[in-house]
Amino acid sequence: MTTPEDTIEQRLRTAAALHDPVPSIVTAAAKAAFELRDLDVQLAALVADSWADSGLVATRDHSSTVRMMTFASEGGSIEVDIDHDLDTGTCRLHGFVTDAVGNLLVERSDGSVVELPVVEGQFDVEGLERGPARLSVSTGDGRRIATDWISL
Amino acid sequence: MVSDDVVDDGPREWLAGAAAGDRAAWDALVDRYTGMLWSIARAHRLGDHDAGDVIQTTWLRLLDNVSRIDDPDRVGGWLATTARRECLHVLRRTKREPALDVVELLAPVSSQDSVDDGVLRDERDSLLWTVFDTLSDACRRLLRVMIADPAPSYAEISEALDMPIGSIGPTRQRCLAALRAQAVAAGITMDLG
Repeated sequence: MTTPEDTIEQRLRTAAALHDPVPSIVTAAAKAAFELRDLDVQLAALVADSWADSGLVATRDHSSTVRMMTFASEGGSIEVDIDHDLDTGTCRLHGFVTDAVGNLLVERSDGSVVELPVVEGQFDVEGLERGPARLSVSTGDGRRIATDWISL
Repeated sequence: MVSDDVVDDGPREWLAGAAAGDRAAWDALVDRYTGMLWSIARAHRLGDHDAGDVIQTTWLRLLDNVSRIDDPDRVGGWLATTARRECLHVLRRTKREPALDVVELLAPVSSQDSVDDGVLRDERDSLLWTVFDTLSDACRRLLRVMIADPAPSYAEISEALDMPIGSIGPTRQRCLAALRAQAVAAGITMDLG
């Protein structure tokens, strides 16, 4: 039996479909993401996140916009500070990697890659556009480790 | 285009298919759950760009973990939880109260010249959408997720809003009753089919 609440819920669903539909570009990007499937990379576990369990209350204070994250795996680790610039809408990434060989890669969801030099275990880059990204490095034992995807 | 065979499957089969490299299975997952993820982002009052980023990050996370989901039947809940956490991170990043540009929400629909039932329904739905945005934040959040298309399960809504399943039904009743009362007060004809 349809209740008055069921009726208005269905009308609201219709209104949402009319006024706030999922943009087709969002669905298309999600489908295209399948091309980024990488079977060779080893996911490093998130072992520390300064924003873990941050709730809406956290948005009401004036605490730092720097997010500090540490990812670790058997082959090495990636520590990264993500410093958001509210004026430019870009961010700075800086941090440390252990047991890495070569550059650190910043992979973006459009398939593009930014290579950052690692100098004495450290990396630093400014002006990265917001959006999904993940970091990866090659390790001394020949593996490649990567962080989770993060919304920069 | 997703084949009929894939459409007949469910989340468990789609997840297994995607893990095995089946593009159509991945597309089926995206088609099934992107509406819910969009609703979750909107329930957190994210704008178009941030909502898109949250959804893309959520799908990329699933792609990385496609073989590691403990309970494939719970993939919708896994996606809902991941999206909610990403929404909170985006809100924190931007150091703001959840707020969506009202102009964006109330963007006018394309006008039609003929006055018929279709136009009346569109006008009614537009007004209903305006009234919806005046509800309490708790009601607006719950209903925004609930009206995703296709409709999410209560378990998925619970994950999306970090809300006990048992409180969803009573809150839904109360919020829809409030919406109905405000809609009637705003002169919306409720018996128009």
